[in-house]
Amino acid sequence: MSRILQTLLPGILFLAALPAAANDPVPDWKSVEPMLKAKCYSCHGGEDVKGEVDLKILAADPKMEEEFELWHRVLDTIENGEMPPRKSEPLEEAEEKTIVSWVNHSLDVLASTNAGDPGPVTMRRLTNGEYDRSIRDLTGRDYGLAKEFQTDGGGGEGFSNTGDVLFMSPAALDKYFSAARQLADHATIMPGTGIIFNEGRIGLRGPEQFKAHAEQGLYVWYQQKAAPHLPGDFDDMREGDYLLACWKHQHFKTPLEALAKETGLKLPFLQNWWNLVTKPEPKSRFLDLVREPWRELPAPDAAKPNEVPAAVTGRIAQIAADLLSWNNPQKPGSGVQRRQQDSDGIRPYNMDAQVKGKSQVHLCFGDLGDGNAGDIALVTKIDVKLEKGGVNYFNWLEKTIGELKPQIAVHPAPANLEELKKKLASLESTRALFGKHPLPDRKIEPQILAVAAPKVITLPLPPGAVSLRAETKLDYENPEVDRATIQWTATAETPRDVTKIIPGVLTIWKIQTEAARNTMGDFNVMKVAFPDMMERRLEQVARNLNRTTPGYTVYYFSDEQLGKVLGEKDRATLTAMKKDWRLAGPRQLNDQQKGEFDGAMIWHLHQFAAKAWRRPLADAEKETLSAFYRERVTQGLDRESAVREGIVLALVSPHFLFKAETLPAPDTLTNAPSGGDVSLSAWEIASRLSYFLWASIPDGELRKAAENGSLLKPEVLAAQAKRMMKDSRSSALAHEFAGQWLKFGGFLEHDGVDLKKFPEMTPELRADMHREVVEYFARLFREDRKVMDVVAGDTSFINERLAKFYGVPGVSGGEFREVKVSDHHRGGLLGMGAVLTKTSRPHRTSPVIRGEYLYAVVLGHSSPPPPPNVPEIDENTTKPASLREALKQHAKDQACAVCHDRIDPLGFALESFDPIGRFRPADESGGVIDDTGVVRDGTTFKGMDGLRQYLAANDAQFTGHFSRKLLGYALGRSVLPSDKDLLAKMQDSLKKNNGAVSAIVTDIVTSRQFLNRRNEAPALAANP
Amino acid sequence: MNTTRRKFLRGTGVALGLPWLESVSVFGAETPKQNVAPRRLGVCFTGNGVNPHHWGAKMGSNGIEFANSLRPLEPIKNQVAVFTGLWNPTTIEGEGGHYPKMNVLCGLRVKKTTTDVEVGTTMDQIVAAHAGRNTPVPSIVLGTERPSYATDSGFTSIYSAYISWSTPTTPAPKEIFPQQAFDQLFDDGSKRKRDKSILDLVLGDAKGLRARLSQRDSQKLDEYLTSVREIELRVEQAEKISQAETGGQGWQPSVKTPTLGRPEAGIPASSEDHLRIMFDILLLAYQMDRTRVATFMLNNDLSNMRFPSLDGVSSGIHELSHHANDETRLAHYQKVNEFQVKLWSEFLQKMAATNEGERSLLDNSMILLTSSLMDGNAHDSKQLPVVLAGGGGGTIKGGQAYDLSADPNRKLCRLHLALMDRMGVRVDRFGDAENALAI
Repeated sequence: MSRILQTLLPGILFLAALPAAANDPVPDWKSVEPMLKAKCYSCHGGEDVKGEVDLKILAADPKMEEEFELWHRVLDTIENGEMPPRKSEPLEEAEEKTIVSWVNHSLDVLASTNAGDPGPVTMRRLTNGEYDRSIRDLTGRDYGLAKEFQTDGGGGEGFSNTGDVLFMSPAALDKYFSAARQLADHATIMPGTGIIFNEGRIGLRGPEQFKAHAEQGLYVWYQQKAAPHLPGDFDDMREGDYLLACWKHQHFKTPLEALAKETGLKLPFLQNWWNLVTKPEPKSRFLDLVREPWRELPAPDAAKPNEVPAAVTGRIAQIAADLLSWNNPQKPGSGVQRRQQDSDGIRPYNMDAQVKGKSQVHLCFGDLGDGNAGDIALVTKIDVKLEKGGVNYFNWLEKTIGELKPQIAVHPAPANLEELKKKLASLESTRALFGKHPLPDRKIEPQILAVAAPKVITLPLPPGAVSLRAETKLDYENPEVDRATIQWTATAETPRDVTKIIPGVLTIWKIQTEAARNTMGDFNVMKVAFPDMMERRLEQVARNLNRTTPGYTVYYFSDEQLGKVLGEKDRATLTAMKKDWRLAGPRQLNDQQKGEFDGAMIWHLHQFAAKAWRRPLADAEKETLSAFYRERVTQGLDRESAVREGIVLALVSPHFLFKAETLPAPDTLTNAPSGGDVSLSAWEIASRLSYFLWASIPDGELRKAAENGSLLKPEVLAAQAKRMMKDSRSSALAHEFAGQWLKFGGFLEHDGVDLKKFPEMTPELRADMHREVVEYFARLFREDRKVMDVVAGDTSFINERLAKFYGVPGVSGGEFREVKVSDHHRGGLLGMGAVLTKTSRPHRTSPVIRGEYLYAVVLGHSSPPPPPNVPEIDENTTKPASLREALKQHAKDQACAVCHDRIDPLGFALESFDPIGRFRPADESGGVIDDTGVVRDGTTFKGMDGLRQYLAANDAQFTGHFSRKLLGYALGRSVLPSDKDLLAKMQDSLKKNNGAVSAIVTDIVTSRQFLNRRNEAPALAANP
Repeated sequence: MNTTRRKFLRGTGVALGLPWLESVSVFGAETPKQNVAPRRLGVCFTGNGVNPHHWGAKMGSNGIEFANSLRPLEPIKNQVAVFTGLWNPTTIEGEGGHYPKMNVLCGLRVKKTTTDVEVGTTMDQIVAAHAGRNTPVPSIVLGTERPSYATDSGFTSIYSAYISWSTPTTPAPKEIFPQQAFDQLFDDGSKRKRDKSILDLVLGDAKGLRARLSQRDSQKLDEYLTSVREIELRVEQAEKISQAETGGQGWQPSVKTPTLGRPEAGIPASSEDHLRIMFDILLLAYQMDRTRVATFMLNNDLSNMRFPSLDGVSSGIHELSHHANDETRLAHYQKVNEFQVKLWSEFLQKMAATNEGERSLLDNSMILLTSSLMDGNAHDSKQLPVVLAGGGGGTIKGGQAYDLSADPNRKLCRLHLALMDRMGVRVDRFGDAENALAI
């Protein structure tokens, strides 16, 4: 079966040719050769070899295997009537039949003899597209460095990934060096976290920068990772619930895990609470305010051993309330907890109380239970706010006493005398407290109230009192003031025990005294255990950086706890970052640390090289890289720079730049039969697969399948291929395979539009058009769509701008989405602006270019170039009608008609699209556009819709060519006669799978061609 | 196919395939240290031929007289020789309008293939292998356009993108980015020194790999090995040259440091700007003696480069070249030709204005302008446009129009032989020619 036959009979599936060939008697070479001798040798043999074709030298042996392309051409030119030329003696019908039949048969024999031959595949260098994508997947960033490399050309089936046309040169190697250096300069390399590529250039770093990187990295990481799991400001932190859970754990022996689960508490916090209330450390009298009452909670009632007594709940509520009293619920981070260190004893600190409806207020002076030496407070001024106005308390006292006295003295005695007397006595005893200092010999102003803690002073209130403020300060003149730690607070409720710490009340001390430091230290322990702000809780987690044992903050994660919360990947990161810090932090490292550091750096370099080289490293390679690193370090390079040099090495190595497929190791080679196939290794197959589908390196999953050898199983291979097609990386097929085949790859740089005539063609529109084609093919593979959709589908992917340009209503927004466009003269590749523009002249359409594109590029018919010196037709007119007429004239010449009869009709059908792809019912001068095409078999179709139907009806032509192109792309070589069976199988699979592209991808990747290479002669001795 | 035999037959007439082999018979006094300025060689190329009605020159009463497209050469007309009738006979043997003609600098047949490309080592690269030893950069290969991804009528489009081939099967890489060309030429070599230890290792890598490859693949890897060795050689060379320069003896280039800023990254938006900056870089490279051998493809063959700044010319060059004898298109074709010659002439005039002691830089140089076709419309390669500027260090008489149309031996490779000879490379035959053209 011949490709040529296939190209000449669009729509007739080439398989149909087989039975015909099998039924007829097959002519042999001996009967064919005399015909050629008689009719061909005069021009193609001996002295004359027109068209570089010499048939005479093949007289003895047609050498079908070597010269199959030549014979293809012979067949082609005879069948389409080009040869023998008109001026020469023609072949008789029987002769033509014999020759054609012989060539067809011989090609078939050739195809079946070597069916599945892996073919000649030359070792491939990474193409520029592959280089960029490999670097992207290796580094996690798209640096796009290959755009300044030497550009690759096309070979094989017209793709840049053909080994023969991928050259290496000093200048190219220079660029690889320069790119590798740039990349290495973007890398940070740490002993734990390894090689990370950054957006910006990093360059040489000193030890301090290196250290700071490790420290800041971890510090920030802790906070980022802990934040979603810590209670935020204003969150209910459920202190009571945790305390109760701890009580249950103690008395009911319920495991903490179960308690956390059933009450919706977080296990790490519950663990922390439990530690806090049960452990003696850290010591702090302020923390004891929580711990001690908890420890004193009653056990369950003997009668009800499984119930929580009411007393427990009540007391826990009090503990929680006391704890929270240190905070300001309105503004986290601003409560007593934050102000404690400000209590300096110099400025007055007010006592404030709400007293509305109360008859008396208690001024409480606590000594914090640490002895009362120095604990004397001076209340210098008490202001009472009344319902109307306000009074100074001492003045009110004096005044009221002064008023009461005459009232009592009047005669007859008032009815409420006793009451008044009592009131007077109360007021007088209150006034007696003022102006007196607890220490003998101290004189103070009469209105000053001096109090030695512990003490509660109860003051009767004026009627209508709303609130009270007492300005109070520590008595600095007290000789024992250095030992002072005192609290004061006013309340109209029941006063707290002033011989103990009063929760939520500021402690006053003289600054920089022993007493102050002790109390502050105790207090800070509580602050650390219960930070009153989210950011301070985060900070406590971040401080794990320098901890050797976990902190005691309650709403907090130790490294272990954090690891459990976050999962395996983060746990590994945490371990790695801690290693960074452990080794980068210290100024001096001991020998053991140095060894660990170097070992880690070398390990990362090995990992990187293995990923870049797409296989595990051999031991010798590991050793070479290690030695290279150590040598750089010995020469005085810092460790990070030494790894960077190693990165450069890995990226300019032939193992990265070439996709080498090696022959069996020499020791087995002697026994291996020459010729035949060599099976590729699982790793080589992984590379073929990933470069076919992604134009990039294998990912972790594919590496795993290569590593454990499962990739050698066809079902695993097929499953991997399907998985990889679904991955977004398969868009490489759109850019590289489809872009090169269908020639839209360079559309963004295409400048073939007359912008003066078509100002609508903005760079944005051009980008949209390019995106449309890319999107279409990306989805074809990613979503496993039908191959025939490419030419016969009724949708496309467009955004608002493109929709408006195309005249498709109802699309708004910049994103590309699938839209049914068949009602708007479009659908699939042929209706895309990029294709229609690319196949136009700058200022007008060209049915010839469009037709040729469709005929030769899209459908894959062979289309010989126009012979030299045949003037092209004058296409200079912009009127489609006259152009059509001119083309018809041109095609009257039989020599021209051979091609134009096939090409032009396809182009005519697209005449309803202007040079930048807009639908046009009429030409510029208003002339009617005839978009009818008539092909040689007489089939007539009209416009885009007709063309799409015509193509759909002849689907085998397109799917066959698509398969052929895809196979050539996958293998990196031209398609050979021996690929015939595979191509037929692909056609068959397509049919069986409803046309889905994955069917042919699967056939390709599980084919003998894909999984083997020819067992060719090994390399000769190396160059001098 | 017998690769070894093929290589041999395809060879260049001298046993020289790889640049570091010093097997060329060398004569003349082209050693680094002498007091005479060295000779320079350059080839500029434009694709798609020229309008034949306005190309050429003849001798008149007042010396050389130019056709319209060559008029911009008037200011340096006494340093220009115009040849009519030179050709590469192999180009008309095969079919195909463009690709088989892409052998201007070697004259050997272009292999019809879509994969294993093959032409022949070109004369500039042979000269570079010799004269290149005395400069930091052996040769520079410049261009403005990438190759396209395509195979067309049995050829790969690679052919249309290269005129310089460093081996019969490897095109010499062409630099189209001004910044990269600048860096390549004017880098002081310090970066390369750091690369040396890496080079040693990858060389070992490559050798180890090579032993496990097939013969076919090992040939590909040999390109890599060659490149590694070549760069190593350049590192050493850079060291030697910098030592020699500090010695301060003998001839010194007239320009010591770049007089041109490092160009911006990327490709200039207009073709005209792109061409000018590449010419400026080339000029500076010659002035500073960074290289003595260069080729510059003003555009690729089959290029559709456009010059919107030329009044009324909106089509691309390839399109214009298929003028079909339409008067407007012919006129536009000529306009583009003349414009390219004008840019070339400006470059030559700057060379003429660079004084190198006894003579100007242009006097010391031989700069060719040619194409792979004459009339693009007919894909005519029966004769080629060939203009030679410069005095070859006082060995070439300028202001001459040579009409060789009637000469039975009018092979272009004879001119190449003459130029190679003046660059110190003596070979008995080159391409399809055996004796040098007398100029």
